[in-house]
Amino acid sequence: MTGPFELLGDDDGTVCVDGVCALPAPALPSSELATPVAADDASA
Amino acid sequence: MTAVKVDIWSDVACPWCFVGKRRFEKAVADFVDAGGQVDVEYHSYELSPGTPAEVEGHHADHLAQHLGRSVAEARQMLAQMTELAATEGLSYDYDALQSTNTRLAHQALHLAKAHGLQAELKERLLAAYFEQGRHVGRVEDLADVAAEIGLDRDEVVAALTDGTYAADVDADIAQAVAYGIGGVPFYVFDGRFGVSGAQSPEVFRSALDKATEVPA
Repeated sequence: MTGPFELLGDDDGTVCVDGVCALPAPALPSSELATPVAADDASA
Repeated sequence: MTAVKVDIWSDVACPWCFVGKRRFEKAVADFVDAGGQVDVEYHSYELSPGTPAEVEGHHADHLAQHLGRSVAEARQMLAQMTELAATEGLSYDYDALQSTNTRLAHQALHLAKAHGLQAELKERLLAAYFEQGRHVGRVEDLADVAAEIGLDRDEVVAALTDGTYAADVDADIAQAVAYGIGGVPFYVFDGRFGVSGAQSPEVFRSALDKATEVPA
């Protein structure tokens, strides 16, 4: 529950929090990735 | 039928806020076609208040640094966001985008609200930032954008220079904190129902319908 209201809809992560926006993880070939991709957030 | 009041907390530098705006607008169009009425008010939310007004470099460079990932990853993420935005008819241009602090833009939105032009300026600012590569963190640039939707340019310059609406921005953010809103976009329908994120038009339409129901 957020605030004095009932939350509707799904928690599908389509929000931005503290300058960080949830985005799909990149799908680059592993050879192009400098670091492992574990999370699914990005500042956009 | 009484209009459903929808309070929306969002930022200008927020890709999901523009996507959510389009999805919400689809729901509103459907709702209005069915005889409903909607009264929308935008509220300020600063996702990154520490961002300076002037930011050098490509957005992907900052993204990579912020997340500790490679620039290639960051560019891929932005490309995916661009593709997703395109499905909503939006043309994000991250190559042209100019990162900046959005506090002045929020003050301009409050000035626009005082003149009944908030919705127009909100749309114009999002397009300026994400689609047109325009700077939305400087007084003069904001005054240009505001003048395009009918606001008096000199009044905008004076209000932003004097911080006339700074307290209103702070009040919006304080309200968001009081509500426990941790991310944007965030929608509150009739003060009774909340929707977090750029959800589907169906979710927004359902919220509009529920908001017309008489509380038990």
